[in-house]
Amino acid sequence: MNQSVNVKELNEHIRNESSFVDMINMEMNKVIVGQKHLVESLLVGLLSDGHILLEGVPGLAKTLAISTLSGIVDARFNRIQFTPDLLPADLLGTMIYSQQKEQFMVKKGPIFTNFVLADEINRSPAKVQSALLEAMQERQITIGEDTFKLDQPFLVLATQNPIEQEGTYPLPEAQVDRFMLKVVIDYPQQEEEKLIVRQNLAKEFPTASQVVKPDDIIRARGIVKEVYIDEKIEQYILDIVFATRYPENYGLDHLQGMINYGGSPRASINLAIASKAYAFIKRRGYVIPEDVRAVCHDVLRHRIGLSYEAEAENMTGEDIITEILNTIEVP
Amino acid sequence: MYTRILKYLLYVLFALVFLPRAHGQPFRVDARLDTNQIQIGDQIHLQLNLTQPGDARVEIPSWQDRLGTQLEVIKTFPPDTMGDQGDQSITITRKLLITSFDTGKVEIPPVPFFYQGRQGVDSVLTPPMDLYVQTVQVDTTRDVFGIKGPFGAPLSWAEIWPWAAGLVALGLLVWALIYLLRRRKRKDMVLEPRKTSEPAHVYALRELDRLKEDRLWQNDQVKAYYTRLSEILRTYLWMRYGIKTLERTTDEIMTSLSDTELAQQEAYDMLLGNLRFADLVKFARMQPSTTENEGALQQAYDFVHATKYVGEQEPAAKEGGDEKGDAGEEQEPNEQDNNKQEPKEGPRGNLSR
Repeated sequence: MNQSVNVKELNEHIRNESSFVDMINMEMNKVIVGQKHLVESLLVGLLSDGHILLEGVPGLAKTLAISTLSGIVDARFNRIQFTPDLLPADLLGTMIYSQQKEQFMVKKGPIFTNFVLADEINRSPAKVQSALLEAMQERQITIGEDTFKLDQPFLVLATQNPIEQEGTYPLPEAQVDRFMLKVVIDYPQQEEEKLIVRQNLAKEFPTASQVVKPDDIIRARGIVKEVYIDEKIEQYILDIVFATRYPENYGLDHLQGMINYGGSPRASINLAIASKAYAFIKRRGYVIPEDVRAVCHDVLRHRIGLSYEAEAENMTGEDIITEILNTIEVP
Repeated sequence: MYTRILKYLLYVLFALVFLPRAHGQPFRVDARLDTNQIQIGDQIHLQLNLTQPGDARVEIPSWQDRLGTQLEVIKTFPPDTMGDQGDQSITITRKLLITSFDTGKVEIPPVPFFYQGRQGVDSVLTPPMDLYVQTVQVDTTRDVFGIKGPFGAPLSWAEIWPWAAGLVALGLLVWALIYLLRRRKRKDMVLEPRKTSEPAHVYALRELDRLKEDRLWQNDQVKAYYTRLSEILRTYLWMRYGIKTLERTTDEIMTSLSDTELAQQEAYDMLLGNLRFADLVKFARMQPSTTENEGALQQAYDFVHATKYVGEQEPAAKEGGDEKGDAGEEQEPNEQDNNKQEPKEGPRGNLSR
């Protein structure tokens, strides 16, 4: 059989290079009970250099997941609790006067780390959110006259609570778009929760071992970019994103009044990158429609603006994405 | 006032001239009020009693909504008759519920009762009465209050039933909607033979023949060849089992079929292998060999033959017009030839998923 050399070789290459994914999964599963989707999403974000917005009620192991991941990758981790009185300087750092040197010195903030957990990001006002989101976008921070590059890998995991919206500052659409994925976490299954309770009662908490170096992640990111994505898959991605903008062109006339704005070009880019990362996690050198569908909800759910009509009919972004996926023909 | 006096005079004149008395026993009437002093709008009973001989014919007056000019009749009660065995007389009692919205002295006019006497029609009148209607005293030393809202009248069935009927209709509509939605969902999940204009296998076999004739892979259009092959199979599954296959991925299609009898057959693995192999060619730039290309097509033929609907109630075949031509085993193109061929090895790629 004459197989295309590039894809065959790439597939073999990725098989070898992605073996650490299984190790990460194994270590994560030692500590995190259930939440398979969360772990997968963390890996997709980590491997595709994208940040994640997590939505879930408190107590679903969000902090534990990211601290465990940082331990596994041997990376630094900081948690920042966003509060209404938080200032950009508390996050990024500031200039302080050194009496010993008789000059202003830079005091770096907690964002100078590999993994940042921005807990309850919507509790802080827009200026703090903007400071974080600019850092996420530019991957560098300017304090005074000095500009500092952030260490790689740099992953921001922001959380927000779906309940208790009083006294919060919802992230503007333009800011939310900068998150590659918005992951919605649900409660664990009954059996999983039983295990969690037992672990807590026995005070026996397994610990994860460090199995990967940050350099491995950076190298893996390069390989993820090489994952082959066929033109048919690209067209499939574009069809999905365009259906969020012009549903009437895809036989979804009833969604026309439900959507204020659809996914941006960033949505198409992120859907393609996340699909590649997902294929990598599944240890494949090429993207298949299953990969696109697996990450589609996480990539698109925060990029679709719902109209009042949709809200009146209790329709969510989730429903719209599902309907689009059930209508667009799979290549 | 002159009109009223004239009316009384006419009654008296009528009685004297045209209505001579017929009965020896006297006719007695009287009228009674609950009270002769009320506040404006208060409601009181006016009771009219007529005592007459048992065999006399009396015309009891009727009232519409007014009594005189200042009194309103709210309700008229049916007459009550009471007999006296001693002098063979009876007493007829008539009760009215009245009110007045005029203040001051209100006169209740005499009410005439006509009866048939020996010499013709006669009448007897109730005595006139006075009712004193007082207005409500306003205490000007206290605060001024807003106008009180109207009192709620008790609901009657006539008012309620349109709403009740509407609610029942709405409930039925909601139930029907839920039922239809559930049915639609169930339809989506449960695999049922789908009615089409032609049997699914006839369509699939014809399209596979066309694909074979088009010689795509022989002309270096391998990707187009596998794209069409998988589309034919997916469309066949859609027509055959009624599941949405064109909008689903290979894994989702196989999951949908896993609950059917197909999952127990070899054809299930055959289909899985074929679709996955087609995916490799379509999405992973795989270049299959000649044997694999031919094997994939043959595998598709075998799958269709193995899973075609052979029940008596093949809906599509009956609707298809010429049954022999459309669905007959002998008439199907290439079928005999295909059956003669040795089963070839199914397509297996070096790239596995």
